[in-house]
Amino acid sequence: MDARRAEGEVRFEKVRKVFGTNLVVRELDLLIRGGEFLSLLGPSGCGKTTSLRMLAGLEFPTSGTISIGGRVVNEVAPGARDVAMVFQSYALYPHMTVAENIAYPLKKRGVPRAEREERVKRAAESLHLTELLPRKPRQLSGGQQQRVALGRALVRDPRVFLLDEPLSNLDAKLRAHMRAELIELHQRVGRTFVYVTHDQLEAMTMSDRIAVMHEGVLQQVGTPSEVYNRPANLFVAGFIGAPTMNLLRGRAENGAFAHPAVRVGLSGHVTPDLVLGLRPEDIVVGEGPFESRIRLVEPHGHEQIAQLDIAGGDVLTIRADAALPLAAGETLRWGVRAARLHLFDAASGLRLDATCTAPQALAA
Amino acid sequence: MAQRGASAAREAMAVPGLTAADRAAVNPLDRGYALLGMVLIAPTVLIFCAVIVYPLVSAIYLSLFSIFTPTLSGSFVGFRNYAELANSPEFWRSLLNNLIWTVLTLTLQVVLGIAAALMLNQAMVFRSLARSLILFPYFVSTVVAVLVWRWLFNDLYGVLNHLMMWAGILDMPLDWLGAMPNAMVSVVLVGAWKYFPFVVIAVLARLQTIPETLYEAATIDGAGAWGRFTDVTLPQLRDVLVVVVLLRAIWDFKEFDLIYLLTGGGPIIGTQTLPLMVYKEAFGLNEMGRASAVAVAMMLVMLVFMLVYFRVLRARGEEPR
Repeated sequence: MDARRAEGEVRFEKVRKVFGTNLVVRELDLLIRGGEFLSLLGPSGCGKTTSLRMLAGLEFPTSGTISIGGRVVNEVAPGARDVAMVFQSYALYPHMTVAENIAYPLKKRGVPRAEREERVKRAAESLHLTELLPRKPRQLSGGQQQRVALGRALVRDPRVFLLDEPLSNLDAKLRAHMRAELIELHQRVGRTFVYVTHDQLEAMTMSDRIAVMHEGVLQQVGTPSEVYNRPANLFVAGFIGAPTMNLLRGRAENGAFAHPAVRVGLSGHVTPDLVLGLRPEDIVVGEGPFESRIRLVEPHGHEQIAQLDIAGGDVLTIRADAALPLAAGETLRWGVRAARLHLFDAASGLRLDATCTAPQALAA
Repeated sequence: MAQRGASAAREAMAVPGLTAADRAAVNPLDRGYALLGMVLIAPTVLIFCAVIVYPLVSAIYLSLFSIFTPTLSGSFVGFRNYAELANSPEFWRSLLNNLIWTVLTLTLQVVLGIAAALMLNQAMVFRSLARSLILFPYFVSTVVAVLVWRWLFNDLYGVLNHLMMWAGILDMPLDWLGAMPNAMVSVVLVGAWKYFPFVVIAVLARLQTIPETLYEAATIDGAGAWGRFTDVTLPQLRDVLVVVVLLRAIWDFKEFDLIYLLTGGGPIIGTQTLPLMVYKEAFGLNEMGRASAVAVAMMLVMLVFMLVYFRVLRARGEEPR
């Protein structure tokens, strides 16, 4: 098993990619451990798909090296890299049956017919495709086509699976189902999965680690809990989490974070200009030292999301139990769970190591 | 079986309370639209009858007579014209020539057309200029094109012989149009040159719609350039090639002016195809009845080939989409 893991290790070293005058990926340094499920997460145009395509060999890095299993693959043809890719559009060969589609990579590698049929059969069984083997792709639903695309990757037992937004074309219910199937598949095959998505929910639920990218720069790599609970900078803080984290700009004054609407004690070294990050669920509703007017309330069934107009012209999003009687226009008391708040340097956007101690009453 | 079960289930689930009168009710608007539809297609039907049905019927009718072309008078002979054709070596030779010409020039057109389309689909300098230039042979009038080619082929002062001798390919000037099999080769080549742009247009349009991800998937699956061509490009071109081959085959089979102007069917009847034989019988020998019989025979041959063509396509297990 260890050898299997080692051959699936992927390393990006100082990888740059320039399209014309457009810098798409700048200095990407990333180690993907063998056998791990790593998501490349970011908004569109952040360079995540380009990075994946460079790993597949469909794009060439402008500079830097990419290695798989310790071997530099910059000069290796896509078909010889021992990677398989699942595309957003599935890219099934329309004139071939499901069985022929799945068998295609084996055929191109000269696997004898008997072995080919055996392996196609096994892959089809594990993805519940056996009945669909004689059909053509156009006779399948989106979810079934997706599974065939996975089967075409799975049948080769490649070192690395590359998945480029494979669930985006599915409806919400099927997507949740396929997430579970993918997690299971990853555990079963024990291979490296590199998964590109702009959907943080997919990244959070499936990944061992998440690499957040923005404008061609890697922002943070960490487990879903690290990325969520200790965002490395303002971009990650604002990108991960729904509803998004509230970010309030304020100043360090007398050992406290000061904002016209919020005051929180600080311990540790801070810079003079600060941004305080408060996740909606870390705001205590109904009690606390602060008071604001409710702007609007969105009922979500099991909970409600409300926006407060707070002093200083900011808007604060909170989450409250569905049973609480909230109504727009009313005044609400609120507080914060100080230990769960995040502090960033306003100038650099980087996370500060300081912690918040306790909310303080505002000077009148 | 499953389908029958499903439709039975649908019957059973018919909306309760639906009466026979509900189903039989006709919207007066629908009746009005139907009338309008008939009025709109009437001119097409009339023109179709005048230019397709009438000539067809009269050709069949004329083929049963022995008719002197200038006076269009003659006597009923029944199937004698057909019997004579069946015993005429000239007819069979013309049919054979027709098949040779069609198969060879069509094959060349398709091969050249696909190759040119693939080239024009690549990113290259002056691509739009090249795309327009390649259509040139198709736009030039046949008379002009053939006159130019006859001049190039000329055995006394033609530039083709001159260049080939200069390059050392030939020792002696070749009689391109006056000897066999050179004449057939020349006709086939000029036909391919004249009509391959049609294949280029159709194939190029289809090439531009093939999703790039299919090529990328094939690349990662281990296909080389040739594999990507045979496993992605060709299958995607299949539908358009079916139509192109069918149309070009019909048009090549009944091609008249190009061959007539280039060789006149000669030497002797070396390149005489059935359309040229129809012309010769009707206006050279003044035998309108026999000419009509050749024309009808030609139509039957084309009909047979078309049936075979569709049968073969169906046998490949592909329902046309």
